[in-house]
Amino acid sequence: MNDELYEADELSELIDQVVLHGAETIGVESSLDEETVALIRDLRAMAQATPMREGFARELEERFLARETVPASQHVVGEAPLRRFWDQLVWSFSQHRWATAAALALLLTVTVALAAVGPQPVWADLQRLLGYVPGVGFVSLEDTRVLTAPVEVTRSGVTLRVEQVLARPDGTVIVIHSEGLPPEDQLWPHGAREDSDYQPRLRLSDGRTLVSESWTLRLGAGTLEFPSLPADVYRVTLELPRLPLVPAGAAPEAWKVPLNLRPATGELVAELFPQPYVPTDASDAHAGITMHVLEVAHGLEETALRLQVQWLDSEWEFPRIGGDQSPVLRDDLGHVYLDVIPSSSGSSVQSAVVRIPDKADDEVTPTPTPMIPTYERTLAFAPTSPSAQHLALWVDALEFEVPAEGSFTVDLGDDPQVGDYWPLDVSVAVAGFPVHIIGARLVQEPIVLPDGPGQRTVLQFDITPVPDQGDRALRGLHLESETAIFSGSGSGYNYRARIMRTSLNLREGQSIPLGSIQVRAESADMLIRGPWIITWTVPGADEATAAPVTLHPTNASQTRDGLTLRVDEVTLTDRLTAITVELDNPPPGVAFSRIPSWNPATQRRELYLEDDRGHRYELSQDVGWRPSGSPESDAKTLTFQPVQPLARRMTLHAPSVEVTLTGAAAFDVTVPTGLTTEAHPGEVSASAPWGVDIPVEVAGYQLRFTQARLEELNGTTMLMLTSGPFEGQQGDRWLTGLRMASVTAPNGQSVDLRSAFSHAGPEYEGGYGVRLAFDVVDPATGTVRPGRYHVKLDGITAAVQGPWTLAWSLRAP
Amino acid sequence: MAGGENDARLVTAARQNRAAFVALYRRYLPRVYHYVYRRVGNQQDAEDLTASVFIEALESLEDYREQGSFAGWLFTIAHHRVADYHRQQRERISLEAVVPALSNSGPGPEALALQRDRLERVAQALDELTPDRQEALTLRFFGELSNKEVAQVMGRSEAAVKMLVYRALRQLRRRCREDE
Repeated sequence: MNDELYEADELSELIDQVVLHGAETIGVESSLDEETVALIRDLRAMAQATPMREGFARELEERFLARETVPASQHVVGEAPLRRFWDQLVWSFSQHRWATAAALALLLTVTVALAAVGPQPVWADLQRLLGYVPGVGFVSLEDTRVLTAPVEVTRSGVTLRVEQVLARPDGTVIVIHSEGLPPEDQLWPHGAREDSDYQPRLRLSDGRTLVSESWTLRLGAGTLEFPSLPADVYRVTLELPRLPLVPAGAAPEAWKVPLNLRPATGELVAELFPQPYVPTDASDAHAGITMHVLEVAHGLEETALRLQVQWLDSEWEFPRIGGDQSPVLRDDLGHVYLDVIPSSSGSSVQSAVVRIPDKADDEVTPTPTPMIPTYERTLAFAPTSPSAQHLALWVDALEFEVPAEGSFTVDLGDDPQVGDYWPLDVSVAVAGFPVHIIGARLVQEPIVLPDGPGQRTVLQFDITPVPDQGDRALRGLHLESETAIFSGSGSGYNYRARIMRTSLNLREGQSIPLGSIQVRAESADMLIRGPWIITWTVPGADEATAAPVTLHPTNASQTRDGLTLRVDEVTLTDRLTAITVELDNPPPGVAFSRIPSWNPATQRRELYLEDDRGHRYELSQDVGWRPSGSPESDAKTLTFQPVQPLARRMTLHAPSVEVTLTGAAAFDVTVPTGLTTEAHPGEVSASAPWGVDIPVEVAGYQLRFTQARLEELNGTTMLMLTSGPFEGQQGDRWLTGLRMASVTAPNGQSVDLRSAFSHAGPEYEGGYGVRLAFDVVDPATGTVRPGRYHVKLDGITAAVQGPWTLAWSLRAP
Repeated sequence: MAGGENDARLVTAARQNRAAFVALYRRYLPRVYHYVYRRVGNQQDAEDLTASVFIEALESLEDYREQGSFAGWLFTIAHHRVADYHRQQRERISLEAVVPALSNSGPGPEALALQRDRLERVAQALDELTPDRQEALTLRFFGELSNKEVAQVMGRSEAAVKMLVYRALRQLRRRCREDE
């Protein structure tokens, strides 16, 4: 039972990390098994993948505002500028409906803030952000009292530490931490419960108390928010009935921590917090879109920056920074820093409308001011190296929701049935892109009921691939029907096959409509390719700090199964250890592919670095190494956590090395006509399987494909071939996949292999198996092309099992 | 995610000025929608129920006493709305709807297919949990609530919720393993 309680608490901590704090990585010290950790990640991924219809949020928001009955004058606290602000809000609604989400977000945010704290602090926040406080965010530290150092109280071996206090005009934030709590099984004995009356207080010297307004708690840590302190108060006592999330009776209670605050002068702020700076000329413009890094702060946990995006077309909404790729930060040393979830709450998306002053003295003009749609967001990256002197933010693309026009009619006839297909030849212009809709089909999607599977009907439209236009690409199309029978629209994009699909969902309980229905394009998702590269110099960067050290170890190699793996280069920086490996003189037909992290025999992750003191270094999660500036990572280079200063000798432990082996084989496979895919609860949508008998002998492996079926994968339809069980392990070599050289379609055209894949492993039913899949959708029509396909293989990939152990000295020769 | 800054202050502002409720709405919409969608399994009903949750919250703001978190209070409304819904209709859970959104998430087709398979297995196993385990996991992951907030919603002790989630995950893991 105690073990259970202990695990339950550890699990709870882990879930908090992932769900409440958005952690992408999970601490290696966790003793929970990998399956559980993977399950938590899966549940998180499922939650985040929950689809929400575009437009739903704003429609509902409109309904709230429509319910607003208080006269506008009562919203405004009396000052003329504020009234103008409110008037602008009303103007925005009446003139543009939802002019831009960007404009609205700021207006409403300001309205809310005005109602809560009055106008002056809000304007100060909007105009000047003076400090970056880890755990809190970019905040104004004007008129703020702070704690000059953490304050600790220890009782019975348990320590409560107040990390920071920010007493601001609009509220007081306290960050706390505790250590030394009893083991979890003692903390949560059977039947223990935490009362719901947790009520932290701040006691002033005159006896008055402030009650916490809200809090965020984890076991051992928390952030408490109180109302603002009176202006003349510098000494307060934090009173906690218990430590965060600790049940009554389990640890010392009734904590009192005296806190002495000081005004946050510039000098003190500089000493206590990472100082934000405004980078010089940190902007880049492309395709009429300007990105500007407004502010940067380098903290121990993260490097945070405030990014502003401005564009010209006020009808474009909801910019998504990065498009398919998240933005990255690079430095002049070769580090690539990936984005991380910021520790602060100051990362929330803000949008704004910026006035363009038309007079040099910035007088307020009486006429409506022109507006530039503006979006601001705080981005956070892994902490940058202190040695970096120049940084560059790379944003590969931006995606906007843009208005779409065009409508067309589909005549479903007088007896439409699921499975029916209506050829169409409709061309509509969507955001300047010619979209050719060639057909509509009624299909059913699965719905699982407690007592069995159910179905939902959707009218799906086939669209031929839409060519990109320069740096613009269409990524989604959202339709609308005037009939209330349909509710919402779905749109998907296969970015490899460049196929877009869109559909109208039949409302629950409605029968399939008869006759003609009018369909209208409502909006589209448009990708604008950059890149935007915003560079700046880090002020005060110390040129004398440690530069990366590069070694070329001798004799750091191992030979197994006729292959010699060698460590070619090791680079040590203060942020990572980069190791480049080479396959020395591989036999003819063999080439290096990658170093997998898993052991093919045990399926466990066993790739790590170790030093002579027994310290183990894991793969670096959030910093990469690309000194050449290449956008793609090099499969031969592995990056680990930075090596500790006292390490003298390093050992790389690799569970396997994947290689490619050339070979030649070819076979034909026929896709029958008339196949349709159907939804099956709990599985991918697929056709009924059909038997095949296709023997394949390649690179010494013999296998036989025995089954084929069509599967809906990644927004397209693929032919999936599955083998029967075969001997996938030959000595230390484990087949990991087949390599397709080409696939020829029935009409003689080459099939685009960007979506194709093959995977082999022991996890399939009946032992070792291999799957091979390629796209069978005709790019000209968007429909499955039946007939005989000719597949040519040019080899395989195989994992050569280790252990591979390569050691070298860090000392100079 | 949990807690968030100044919920209480926003509630105070929203009581005086209903337009200010939009800030709370924006903060909690995705979490409430994800939770409701998971529990009802289709977009139309999820939208309707989500709307009714926020409208009820707006109308009931005066009743909200600042004990515990606003999130807990809001999800208590959502919890009751979903329960009402299930009393009236058969429960529907859509698996397919969980997966298509993954198509834009970047991994290659092979990884995507594997991820999709895995998520579908998890979704199916989730459906087979007892109602209270299912509810605890849904509130925890889809509603992004802390144990304390889940306890507030479900009327249990925090320790009980912690064990509920733990055992739910253990059962889920076992079930997924059986499927493999």
